[in-house]
Amino acid sequence: MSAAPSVSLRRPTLVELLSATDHKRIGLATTVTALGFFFAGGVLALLMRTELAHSGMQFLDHDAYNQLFTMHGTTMILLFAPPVVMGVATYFVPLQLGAAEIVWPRLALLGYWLYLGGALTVWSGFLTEGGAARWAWFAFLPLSDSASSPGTGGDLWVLGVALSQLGVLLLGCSVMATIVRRRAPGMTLLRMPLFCWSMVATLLMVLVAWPVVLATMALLFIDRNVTDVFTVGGGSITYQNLFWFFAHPLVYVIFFPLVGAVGEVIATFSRRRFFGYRVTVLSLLLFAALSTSVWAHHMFTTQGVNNRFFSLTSTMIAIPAGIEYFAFLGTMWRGRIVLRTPMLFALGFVLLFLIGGLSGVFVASPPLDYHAHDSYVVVAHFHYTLFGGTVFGLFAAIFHWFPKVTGRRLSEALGIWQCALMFVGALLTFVPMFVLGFDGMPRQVADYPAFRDWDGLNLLSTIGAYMLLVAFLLFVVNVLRSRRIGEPAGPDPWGGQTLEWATASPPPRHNFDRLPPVRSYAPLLDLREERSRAERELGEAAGGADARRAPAAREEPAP
Amino acid sequence: MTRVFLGWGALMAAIMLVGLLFVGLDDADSLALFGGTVAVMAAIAVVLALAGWGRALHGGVRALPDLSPPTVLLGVAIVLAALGAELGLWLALIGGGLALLAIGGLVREGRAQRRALARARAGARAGREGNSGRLHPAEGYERPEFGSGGRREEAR
Amino acid sequence: MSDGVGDIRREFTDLFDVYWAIGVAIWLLIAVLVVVFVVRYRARGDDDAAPAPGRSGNTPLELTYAGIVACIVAVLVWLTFSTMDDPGYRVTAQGLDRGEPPADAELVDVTGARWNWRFDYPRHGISEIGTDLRVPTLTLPEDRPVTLRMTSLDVIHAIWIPERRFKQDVFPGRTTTMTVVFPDQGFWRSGGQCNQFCGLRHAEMDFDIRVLSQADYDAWTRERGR
Ligand code: HEM
Ligand SMILES: [Cu+2]
Ligand SMILES: [Cu+2]
Repeated sequence: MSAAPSVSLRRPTLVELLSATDHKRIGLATTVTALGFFFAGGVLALLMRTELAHSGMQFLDHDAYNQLFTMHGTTMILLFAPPVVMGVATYFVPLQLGAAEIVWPRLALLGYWLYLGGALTVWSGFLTEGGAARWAWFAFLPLSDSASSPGTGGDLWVLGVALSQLGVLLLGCSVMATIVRRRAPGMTLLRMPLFCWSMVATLLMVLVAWPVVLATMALLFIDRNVTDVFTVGGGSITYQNLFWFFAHPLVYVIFFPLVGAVGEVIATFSRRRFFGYRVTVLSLLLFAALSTSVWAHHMFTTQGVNNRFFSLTSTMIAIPAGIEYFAFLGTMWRGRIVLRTPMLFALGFVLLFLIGGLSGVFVASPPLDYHAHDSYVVVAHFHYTLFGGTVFGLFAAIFHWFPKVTGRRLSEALGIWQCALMFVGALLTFVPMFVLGFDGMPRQVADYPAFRDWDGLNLLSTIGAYMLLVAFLLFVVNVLRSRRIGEPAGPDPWGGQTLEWATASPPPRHNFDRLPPVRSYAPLLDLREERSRAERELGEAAGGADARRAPAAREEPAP
Repeated sequence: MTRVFLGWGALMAAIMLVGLLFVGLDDADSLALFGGTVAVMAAIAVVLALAGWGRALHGGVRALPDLSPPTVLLGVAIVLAALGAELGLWLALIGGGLALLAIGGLVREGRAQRRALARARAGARAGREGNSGRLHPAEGYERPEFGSGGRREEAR
Repeated sequence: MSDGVGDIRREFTDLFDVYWAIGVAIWLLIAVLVVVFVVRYRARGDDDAAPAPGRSGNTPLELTYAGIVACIVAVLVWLTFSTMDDPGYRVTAQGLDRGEPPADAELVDVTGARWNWRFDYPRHGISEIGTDLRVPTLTLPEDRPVTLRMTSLDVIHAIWIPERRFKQDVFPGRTTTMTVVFPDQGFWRSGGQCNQFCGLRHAEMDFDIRVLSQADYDAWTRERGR
């Protein structure tokens, strides 16, 4: 019953995979590499959680722990999350736009290789004599200068961050140019799928924020190796301004694309058009602008920034975020909801990210942040945005699009188990952190005194972290199983609404043999609705004809 | 799309102005970062407008090679050259040399691509589709009827 | 409370209660809606691929809703700003719009250096210095504002006093200040801790806090001071 795949059945060699100009190969390579770093970063987190399960030092020393949280943070937030969303976008934006290929494919390919090289450079710090960087993922000066943190590992961190983020920027430029330049006939801006719009919002931020991190890393490298750049005093504030001007948009860069993907999943599995498309698009753009205006809420305690302004912009973010949530719920309202795995992950995203979002409003208030800042409250808060948001959204996207990419389905049963374990695990791991932080536990410590009575909650959190590991392993099993015995998916296993479902799975080299007409942001849904309207009319006509012969036939439900 | 860039830049300017006028946002760092953002957006919009790039481009003949090893070499070369900044001049030189090689390769690739493009154009005019010079799917499907013998049908 | 210097902990709690109540209410509301929608609008029958009927979008409704969210945001911002404007809070929590420390405040010069604290009482000639073997104690008078003038010798540190729900950063080459009032006597083991990652032994960079009655405090300054 399945469509014959129109690409060659021969497995591509590694060289073909890694030097291909096809956006699908580039996107896939980026996504898979990033998932590898997700796993590596997760292992580091487990090591930390194991040490933290009890008070007292069990199997790490302070120095090792400091390297671990630095590298966990760096890996997750710089080497996993931005690349993974760029990978997914590189694969799917051209497909959703009905384009044959990406614009500037060589730039995107170069981006992938810079990302890979940079990421390996960061990690190679572990192999150097002094170990990897140990200055937290934000590398504040003067802790990160050559006097306070000498060593090759630190320099490799700076270089690797710069290279990998240059790679992300190049991939992003390529995707943005594709959106500007390669939309199918009929696809006006307001007929682009929501995911593409979320990428527009994302890439606007990338275009202004990523050059800043490149410059900052270059200056930091010079500061460490040549001559002081950020002189003591205002210099460390300027460094923080520059870094957070990059790093706050960053956390939305790794979130917006998944708002788009989750929106499409919810629409698809509610069997209706995304609710409030125009208002959502506008709110995404407003969201992106506000996200670029809030960076110094990371600096409320420095006495060096205008707390009121950044508190105002940060709290206002709740407005576009609220609109998105309204649209999600509006889409489900009176839909025909089908609870397949992508939808389950999407619902997990909605509920868990909400915890991160609401606690974000809380830390956006300086008087409240004076307590929460740099405590485990903040660790809990941003893991609900990063794990609840980015990771749940990513798995919604992966379960949604896996059949398109591989031509095979994933197991629903394993997926449901994974989702359930991840949901419970995410609550168990990160809710105790809110309580611990409120009670005074600072972040970035390998140990806490026994007299605090923090052991129980920390143990709970560690148990949750191991549940997350099991969930991820279930996913690996699921993928391997699908490669062997997964049932063929066909071009459109879910009843998709956007153009990527109008071609074979996996799509051929140039994506489409023919394109359906694009009359809205859900072109395939248009066709389906047209067809069911036509069928209804046909049925009525036929029913009318039947009625003359056998009136009872009218009562039969339509097949 | 030009309007999107402009509009977003204007939004950023508006947020900065609210800060400047009502909440006393006056530190040099913040104003420079906001100003830079607005300037970048304006610059992108100007470039798009001048290059006539604001509108989507349909159709066209493609002749992109399937693999581009010189691009990969360039990526590796840049990484090595950057590592040279830490590990020594020798590595930077190796990286630089490889980068030159890669650029040479890219130039050759570009020439071959232009030739293939010309061939494919000629082929397309003659009503054939070249193997690597396939038509953009949009071309010639002005009002394609969906579902008539397409792959979707096979799946149903 | 002297000189209108606020009780930071109380101000924190008052504000927090509002944020917490609103946050929990919104989470529960959305969670309930998600569950209700999933149950109520679950696809039934085998034709689960048929498109659901109905209009998708209602701009006036969406804008009304956005207006409601904006009102909630406005209330929260107003509450936050008025806390920050509270005269008591203003001298306590600095930031760019800091007020002057109250005139009668006790003064402590705080110096952070990896990985210890040093407290100097300029008016009494007292120095309390932490060492690798000895955790320093910050001794304070009860119910009286104490202004900490803080600086660092090396990297950025921060002082967090969870009991007071308050912290500020400590920079090299700059002075930051914070004013705290402890309304009650007591002793807090590790009651203050470094809260900006500062390297190897950041986790151990803490100090004890001891709050004495004014009389005991005066006795202590006489005994320790010169
Ligand atoms: C897989 C489950 C995860 C667990 C168990 C976990 C655990 C932790 C813990 C315990 C910390 C605090 C370390 C400390 O301050 O001492 C931490 C920090 C952090 N995590 Fe995770 N995490 C997980 C996933 C993620 C993900 C998915 C992301 C981002 C996409 C992420 C990003 C970060 C960042 C940025 C930090 C801050 C690092 C720093 O302070 O420099 N984590 N994580
Ligand atoms: Cu410190
Ligand atoms: Cu510290």
